[in-house]
Amino acid sequence: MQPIPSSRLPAITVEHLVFEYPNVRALDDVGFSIPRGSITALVGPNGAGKTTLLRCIAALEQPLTGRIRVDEIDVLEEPRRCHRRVGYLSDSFGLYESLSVRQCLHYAAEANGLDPATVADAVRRTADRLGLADRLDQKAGELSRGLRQRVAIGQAIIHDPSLVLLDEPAAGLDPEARHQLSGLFRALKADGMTLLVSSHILAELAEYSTSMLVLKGGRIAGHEQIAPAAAAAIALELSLAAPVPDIGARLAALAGVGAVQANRLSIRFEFTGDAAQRHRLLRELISAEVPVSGLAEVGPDLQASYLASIGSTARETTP
Amino acid sequence: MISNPEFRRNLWLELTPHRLISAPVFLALVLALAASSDDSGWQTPTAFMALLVFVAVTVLWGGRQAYDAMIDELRERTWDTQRMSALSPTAMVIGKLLGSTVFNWYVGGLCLAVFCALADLTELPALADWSVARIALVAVFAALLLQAAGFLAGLIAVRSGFTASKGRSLPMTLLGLLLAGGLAGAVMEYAESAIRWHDDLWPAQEFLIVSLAVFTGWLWLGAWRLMAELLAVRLLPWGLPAFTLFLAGYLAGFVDSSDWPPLGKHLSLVIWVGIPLAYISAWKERRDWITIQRFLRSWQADSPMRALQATPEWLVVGLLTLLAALVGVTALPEEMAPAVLSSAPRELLTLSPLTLSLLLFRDVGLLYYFGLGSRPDRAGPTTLVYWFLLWVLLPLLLGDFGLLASPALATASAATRWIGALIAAGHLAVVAFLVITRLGQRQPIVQNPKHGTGL
Repeated sequence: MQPIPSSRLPAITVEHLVFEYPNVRALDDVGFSIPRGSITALVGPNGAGKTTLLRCIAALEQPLTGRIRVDEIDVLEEPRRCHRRVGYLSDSFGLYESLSVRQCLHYAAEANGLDPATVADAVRRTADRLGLADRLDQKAGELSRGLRQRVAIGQAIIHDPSLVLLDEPAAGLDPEARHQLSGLFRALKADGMTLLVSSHILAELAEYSTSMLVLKGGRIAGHEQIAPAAAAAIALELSLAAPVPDIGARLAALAGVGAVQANRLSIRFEFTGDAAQRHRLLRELISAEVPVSGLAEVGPDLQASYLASIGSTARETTP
Repeated sequence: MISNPEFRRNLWLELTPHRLISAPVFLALVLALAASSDDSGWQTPTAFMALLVFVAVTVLWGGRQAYDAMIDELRERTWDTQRMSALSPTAMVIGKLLGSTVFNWYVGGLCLAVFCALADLTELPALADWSVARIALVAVFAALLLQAAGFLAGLIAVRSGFTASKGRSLPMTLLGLLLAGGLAGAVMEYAESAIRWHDDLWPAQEFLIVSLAVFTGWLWLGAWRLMAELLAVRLLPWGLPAFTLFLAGYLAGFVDSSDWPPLGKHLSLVIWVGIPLAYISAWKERRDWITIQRFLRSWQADSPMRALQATPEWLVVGLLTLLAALVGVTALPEEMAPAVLSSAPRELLTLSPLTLSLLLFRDVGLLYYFGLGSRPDRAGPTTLVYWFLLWVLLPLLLGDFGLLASPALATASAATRWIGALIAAGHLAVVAFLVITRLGQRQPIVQNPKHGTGL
């Protein structure tokens, strides 16, 4: 039997994970796997077990039972080896506030086992990547919340981990800082890293996530791909001036149309095709007297998927 | 040393240019004040003020700094980052312990230099037989000892999971004062005498210095083992048993073999040292459901090494004391207590070890029983109440009725010795039954292979 190439093995595999605090089962038979090079949004209500799950994957908490593998390393058996592959940003991260940004990053690089000869390069590269190059000699304690967040992320990724776990990374950031964070996550993904991001801010997760993992009451309530499955596919939203009863089925029958999610006056669907094919689609709809009022490219609707997963749909949905 | 990232981080934090410049200036001012305080000469008051500053800054403050080296990581929420680093336990202990106290040693080094240059011990009758170099050595080892003790206390606090406020350092400071006072007393007492240890005479000053160094070494070893545990490095449980044997052997050296036969003396001391250490260790050990289940599963699995790694150290020490008690009480009961003692304490020492060893297991069993209950966070205080009930209230109450209440007190004769052991075994059996019942009552773990989801 040929061994599976490491690039095709999942980044994280979790099986039958159970974690208990005294008298509280925080994670109950949790199982999932996450492919390499993806960004997975970890969402769920408060107390769903998101932070506990991230800490178990980071080998910072010991579950009662179950198995976690990161890059095929058994986290419970070899936690120290796993740490080399993982970068972790906790929701209540701390920095050595009296140290400069350069010293913080330098320490993180050396503490994570980087060759001393490469540390200066790693510090400069990480600072450039995070937009901290002009802040290197400023003390961490003097920085704004957003910049401190960036330094903490820099500490977590300076050793180029294959997996980055981020717990509420956008909490407390202003809109501009959040937008920059989204760009950073996309860049890390482009560099081959796998990201698992816990957040309450679904709109931002939609900007960069490729899949969504929903936790509810310590159990997996949903795990779905939210970016279009086909590389060339895009998500479109068709707006109607008046409701059309069988619009979902009619649209699905047209060329280039993939999965359809139809509501009363708006229909989201995957579409594979260029501008000319999109024009042809629109012409066919208008010829068929569908009361089209708009057609626009959209990001994934995480809000709807999330609410559907946890069992409280926000609006009527037609499959 | 400088290549140790943790040590260098502490250097950046502790040795700021401002501190490097201001500390000698302040020290010079304090010493100048001392020098001007005595009209008969300036050298002696300056030297002793330097020693006093060393004790205050390097011994006492240094001990507190070492304690805070761990607590600050929790307080500043940086401990998770450190746990995920690639730093080894050795690098972490050296970096933190020496790094957090580096400023204290900077000031202390200046103080010792002044003391060594100016001190004239002939002016102090209590220290007349000490050389300046030996006093300096005692001071250095006292600082190392207290700093190691502070660091170990910080590690225990982190393992226990509490996030101490600054005010929690007060007990460390008080402990430091107590140790420093005791050490000063020892320096005065052992100025000129020799010490009889293991039937040989040893120069008292050297003995004191070597003892300080050896105990400092044990504290460093303890800190290293705890740090390894916190960094998820698996170790075999030999640390506390080894320290028990060492301490029993060390203390045995102070008792003349003509007063107490060697085998009985060593066995007895293993028991009398091991039992309190086992209680302390069990109190500080993790006793939650996960730890217990992991321990039980490791023994069920076919991996002796992993099973030993999961074994708590109190259990090994407890078994050691039980073994010593069994050998002592059955093979040489008359050698288990020194002949020089009067009858009552002698009977206690001779007859109780086996019973006490069994009661250790009963008492720790109670800790586990309450730890597995609905309020594991209250297991400690609840167990204390039951210990008080079993050790004090019931014996007093039943004693009034002429009944044998506490097996530990059944020491009057050889017959009651075995009755006491049997009663203790009965107590242990009841507690073991309670613990096993509670383990069985735990909710079974869901194992549904179809539940996992994946993309």
